[in-house]
Amino acid sequence: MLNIFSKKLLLLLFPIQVCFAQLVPIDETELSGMTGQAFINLDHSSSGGLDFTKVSLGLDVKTSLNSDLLDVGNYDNGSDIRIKDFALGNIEADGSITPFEIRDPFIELAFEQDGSKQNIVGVRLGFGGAKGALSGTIESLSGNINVEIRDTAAGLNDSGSLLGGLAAVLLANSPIETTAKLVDSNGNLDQTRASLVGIPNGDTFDIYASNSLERIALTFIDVLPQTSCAARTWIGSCKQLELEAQGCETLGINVCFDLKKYNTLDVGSNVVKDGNGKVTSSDYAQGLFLGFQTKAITWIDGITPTTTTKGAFLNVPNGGLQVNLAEAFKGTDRVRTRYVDPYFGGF
Amino acid sequence: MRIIKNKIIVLFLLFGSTFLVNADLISLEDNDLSEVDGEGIGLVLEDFVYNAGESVNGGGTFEISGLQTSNDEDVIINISQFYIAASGSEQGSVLNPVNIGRLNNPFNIELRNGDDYGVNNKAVFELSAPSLVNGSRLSERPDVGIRFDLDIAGSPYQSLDNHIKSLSIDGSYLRLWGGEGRMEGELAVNIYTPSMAFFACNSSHGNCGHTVEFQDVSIEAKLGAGEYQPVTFDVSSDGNFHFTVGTLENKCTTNSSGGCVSGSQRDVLINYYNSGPKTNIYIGNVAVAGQEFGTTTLSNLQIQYLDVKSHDL
Repeated sequence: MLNIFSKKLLLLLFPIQVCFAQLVPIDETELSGMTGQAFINLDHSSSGGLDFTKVSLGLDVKTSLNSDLLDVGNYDNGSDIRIKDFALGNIEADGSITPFEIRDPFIELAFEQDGSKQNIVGVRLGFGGAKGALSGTIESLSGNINVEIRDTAAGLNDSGSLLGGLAAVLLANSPIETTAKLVDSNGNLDQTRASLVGIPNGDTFDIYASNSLERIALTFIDVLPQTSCAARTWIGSCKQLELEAQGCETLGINVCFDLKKYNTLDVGSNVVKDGNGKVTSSDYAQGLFLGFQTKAITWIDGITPTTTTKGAFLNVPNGGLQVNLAEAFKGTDRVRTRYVDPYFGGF
Repeated sequence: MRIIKNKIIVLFLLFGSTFLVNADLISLEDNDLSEVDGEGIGLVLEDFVYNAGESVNGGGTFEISGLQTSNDEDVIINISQFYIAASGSEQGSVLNPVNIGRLNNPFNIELRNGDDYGVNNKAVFELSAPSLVNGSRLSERPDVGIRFDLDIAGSPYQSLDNHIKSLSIDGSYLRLWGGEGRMEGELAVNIYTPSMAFFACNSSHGNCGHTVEFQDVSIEAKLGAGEYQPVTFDVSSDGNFHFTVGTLENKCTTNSSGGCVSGSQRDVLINYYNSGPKTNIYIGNVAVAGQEFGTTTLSNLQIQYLDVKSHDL
């Protein structure tokens, strides 16, 4: 009579309940069709006096996740990166999940030659491509998070500035574009523990006239301080006006914004949104990585160098994030990331 | 053999390196077996030391080949040192035996009642590390280390060391059961160590550089919640793998903004968000060459959908 243990032992010995399959060797022809073994690459390179070893994984990842807190490099009474209610992916109005998508993640080590020794001076977790909703309350950020602002001048109506409102009326259909970066409260570029994103000192808002009336308006605005005409028509009217930012303002318009206002960032390139702000299509953005360095070093992605600061560093590549003027001035709402979501009244 | 709490404790006595194993497996008498109505098999490795690598007399390296660079150069990873020994091993240079698991808290292989784990009317196979007792880790903690030597295009390139002090994985488990035409499971991975160190050396393991040390590391990762959110792993016929953590989509009737409407389905999700599987990571400090880079925290990470597929690079 078999006791329970013996029965279980038999079950372990015959784990497939009714399995009479014979193991057959795989011949060379069949083996040549196997491709899974090539999902890992290991590369080495040298640049800027540093050696790099990079392990890449051929993976397609789709995920939806939530975390109460992501806090990296917390020392000296602050954090290099601190994001509360961090989330990737979102839940649509119809209840479906739109995942955050990642292609080909990698881990890379940077080494510095010190005499005959090789010191590890940096490590980063990077992604060959990424797209999707990245949500959270960003309290502190070290890195690059260049935000492309693309809109028409009508969006200046949300600036809260008299001149901005006037420009919105006069230049309603004129395309406007600029790039906001991590800055301090004086408008200086600040990649370390920043809490503001804005147009750095000396960078410009570019407004492109779309008709003759707007060219006339740009020509008049050109007489104001912090403006310069970058391109004129053959009769001398201005068709491209640059508004230069200084000290976080231009034409009385505040151009530095609290990172906490950006509750959801749409990571990706060529992001297309519908009238409700919902992303309808986007491509993978390259160069997204989270690095940790013991000194300022430059990582290379293809031919694109990214210089990082000491400590933790989150790089969101140029063109990776795109907002309109209303979103730039007022911030972006947080998308739903849970089926029972405190940001949606607990429902 | 001893029978404790209806578990068979199998003692593997391993002395010295893998190349000098003097383990005795003692056969069970019929009388012993007849008394067993076991819930599973407990495993304890008593006085255990594992040391393999080229520095061991008669030892060698474990070679992983078939990898390439993006320029199609051949890459070989040689594991030239791997050790598990008692705490205080000085990165594998002092090898004393350690007990892996304890007689009253061993590693377990068990068949569980699935009803207790959200798997209705099925048996669940469980492989588990010693359990946490009131949140504490009672097992002895071995030092573990591994060294990788990289060869690229036929030339020795670099040696990378990883040494973990006083490692505990108490509370970890893997549970598997038969799903509909596939194997399903859930898992917990716990890693606790006061020190996880990395450094690089030249190809002959000399002239090692600064150590990057992660101090007071605590990783508690849980994936999957029974049949409600199973974890699956498949390998396709072309050799690529597919790993998923089940989606929470369609677990409740949703309102116009995609949230759950009131009802029992919402209550289940509230319970999931409050006490479902979560991952917490805490690193007390990162120290490099006299510099300290503070704590890192990832708290209450919940994965409500994950799909990972491999492909050739």
